[in-house]
Amino acid sequence: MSGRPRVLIVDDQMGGLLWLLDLIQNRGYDVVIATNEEAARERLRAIKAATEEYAMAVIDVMVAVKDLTQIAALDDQFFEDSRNTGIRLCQLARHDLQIPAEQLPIACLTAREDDEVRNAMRELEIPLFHRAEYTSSDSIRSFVEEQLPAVGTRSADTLG
Amino acid sequence: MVERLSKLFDAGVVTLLLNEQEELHLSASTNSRIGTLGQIVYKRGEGLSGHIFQSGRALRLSNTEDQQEVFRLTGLSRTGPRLSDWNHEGDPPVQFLGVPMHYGGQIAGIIRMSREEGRAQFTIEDQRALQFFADILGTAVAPRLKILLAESMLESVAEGIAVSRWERSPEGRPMSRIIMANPGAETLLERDRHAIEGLDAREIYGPGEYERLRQVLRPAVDIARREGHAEYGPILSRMKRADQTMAPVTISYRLLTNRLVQPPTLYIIGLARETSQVELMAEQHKRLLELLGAMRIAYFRADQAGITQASTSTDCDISGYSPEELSVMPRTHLYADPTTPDQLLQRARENQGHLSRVLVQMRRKNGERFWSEGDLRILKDPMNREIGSEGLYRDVTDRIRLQGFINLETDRVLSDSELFKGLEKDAEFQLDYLSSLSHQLQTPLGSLLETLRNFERGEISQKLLQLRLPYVIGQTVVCTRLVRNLSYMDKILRREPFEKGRVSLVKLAIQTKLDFVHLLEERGLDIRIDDESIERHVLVQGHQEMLRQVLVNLVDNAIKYSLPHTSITIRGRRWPEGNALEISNEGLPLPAEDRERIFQRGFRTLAAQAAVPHGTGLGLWVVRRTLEAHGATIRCLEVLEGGKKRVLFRILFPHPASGPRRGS
Repeated sequence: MSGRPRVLIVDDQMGGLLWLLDLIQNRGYDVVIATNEEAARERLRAIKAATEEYAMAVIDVMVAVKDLTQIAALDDQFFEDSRNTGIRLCQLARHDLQIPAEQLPIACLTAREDDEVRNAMRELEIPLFHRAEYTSSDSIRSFVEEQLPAVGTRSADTLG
Repeated sequence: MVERLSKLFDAGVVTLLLNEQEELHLSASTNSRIGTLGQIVYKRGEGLSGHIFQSGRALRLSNTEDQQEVFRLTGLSRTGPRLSDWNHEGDPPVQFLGVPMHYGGQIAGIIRMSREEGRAQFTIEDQRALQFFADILGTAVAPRLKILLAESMLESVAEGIAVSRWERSPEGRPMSRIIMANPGAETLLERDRHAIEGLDAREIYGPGEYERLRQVLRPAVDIARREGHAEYGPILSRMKRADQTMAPVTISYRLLTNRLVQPPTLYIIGLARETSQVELMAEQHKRLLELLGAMRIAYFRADQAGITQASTSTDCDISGYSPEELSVMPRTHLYADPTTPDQLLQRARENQGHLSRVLVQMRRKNGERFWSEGDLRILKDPMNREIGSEGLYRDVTDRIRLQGFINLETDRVLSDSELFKGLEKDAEFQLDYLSSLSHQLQTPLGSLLETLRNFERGEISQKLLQLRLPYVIGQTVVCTRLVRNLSYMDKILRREPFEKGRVSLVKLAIQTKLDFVHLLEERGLDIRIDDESIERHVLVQGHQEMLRQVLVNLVDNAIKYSLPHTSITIRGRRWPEGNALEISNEGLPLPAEDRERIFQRGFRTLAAQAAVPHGTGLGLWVVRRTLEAHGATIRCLEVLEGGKKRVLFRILFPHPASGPRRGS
């Protein structure tokens, strides 16, 4: 670990978020990536237990429930819906674990256009950004720039 | 009989006219002076005197020729009247009340009567004359005239007979008053006939029945008014018993108009029989078959040789064969596969003698094939030996086509609710399809845009940009191909023809691998292409870009569900059923029951959804449709290789398109 402040990104398709990773790292933060809900829950519990600290979290609304290797090993298991994994993670953070926005600013990313995700985020008071915005001011870029003052140079770890 | 007839016609007296054709016509006097005053009882076989009339001419028994005519008709020797018919002035004798008999608008004769103690009495001679009429009625009239009812019938307890007459009620409304009922009517209605007689006919029918019957009898009434008589029935109805319970009956009607009186009077004679359960069932069956016909459902019964013994007209309509043709040919001719009937019968034997909702392909006389859905039942005799089969079926070709059109099952006829859900799902799919395309384009385009913004803002160095470019270019290629292939998919979905050429699957496989290199690196995966086996076994005539999309979708699928640090293999194989391209990977296992369903549009296993939320369930559907358009098939299998289970997709290309077998 570099000792630099860290940002948590929860997404299972990081190929599409390399630009965000670059942006965050360029501002002097390390990036921790959780590629599924289960891994992300562990990070949130660690934040609650104060064993881990993050400058912010970026959560994709639709992320895998578990690691594919785990799922492959579970025959005929009932799996929770993966459509709203990001919403569940935000609810865990704000409702169940009572992690306030001051402790962990969260932004959500989605390519969905429906009201379900919009309403859920409004209720949780978590900003929701579309994955493809026309202007940078509408994009999650503006949130990251606002929340993460430049502190140093790049590094990255991947979890999950 | 005469008494009944006189009552029937409300006549004071009834007589008969004998015309030259020896046809007997009933006539009656409605002279109010006779009216119902004289209750006349005749006894068969008593002596004869008085008047009979032939062709409007009075038969006079004083006349030898007339005596002979009477003898000829009745076999009885009769002597002349003792009283003169006319006085010297040519008028009826004053001491008698003359009742003129009309025939053809003319006075045909006179029945004489006198008054005795204020009551009208017929002379003995005329009573005897009337007895003669009764004799004639008994011997000659009944079998000759339909309008008269055989005495046995009137006395019948099996047939309920009620005669009603149209008249005006005391309140002035038209009504059909029952003027006669027989013992059968007593049994049927469980009332004394005297209690029946005089009733308004509507009182002996079940609720609503009188109005319904009146409606259906209207045309017959019109005919009877115009032509004198008409018939209607049999028809099912319900009559009301004394205890208000209903008796199911079959009624036949005879309608008569007596136009010899003014105004003409309509009589309705109803012959009712309580409908037995067997008859009710037979009637129900008849109605059921009519109903089935209206619903375009055919019925047939065949013997053991499969020859049609009975069938409805719908059987002919659907099959195109005439009843005569069906009655001599085995029904195997009606099936696309002639072995189908035997197979169905065998299945029926194994299923307690019947099959329900079986879908089979049949063939019309003109050779056209069609899908039918039906039920089949094996028929047995009392000794439990098979004697044939019967069934119902309907043409469901349009329904099956519709189900196929919206990508639902086509191996059975879905229920309306299933079809409705399918239609809803199809409509949703159109939206999901757009949404999915939008989603698939947004992420890479957003990524491209933001990567360029990073570079523009100096967030990333030239060196890092070089590092990111392969990812960005790879994603842009995916977007470009996705957009381009939309038009190809449109062609396939519209079943439009497309140009085919020789396609190298090895080349496509290598290009596909390059397209996915960034993802393969990210997941720690490898694609192994056995180019030699592909070149040897699989050279294809097809549309290069469409087949590229097949490979892209299958490789994309394999990458999504492969375990890290495993390999995806693409190879050619020769199998007895054809030459195949096989793509396999080690990853998320696929239960046997899902290996066919994954090709259905929108289907994704729960495990797949849990592992990869962003899937749409379209990729493999597109693969199958594209391959079908090339005459190829695809199956999903689980194979064991090197002790590891692998999911394998085997594409079998048609023989003519298979390439040369080098070295063979």
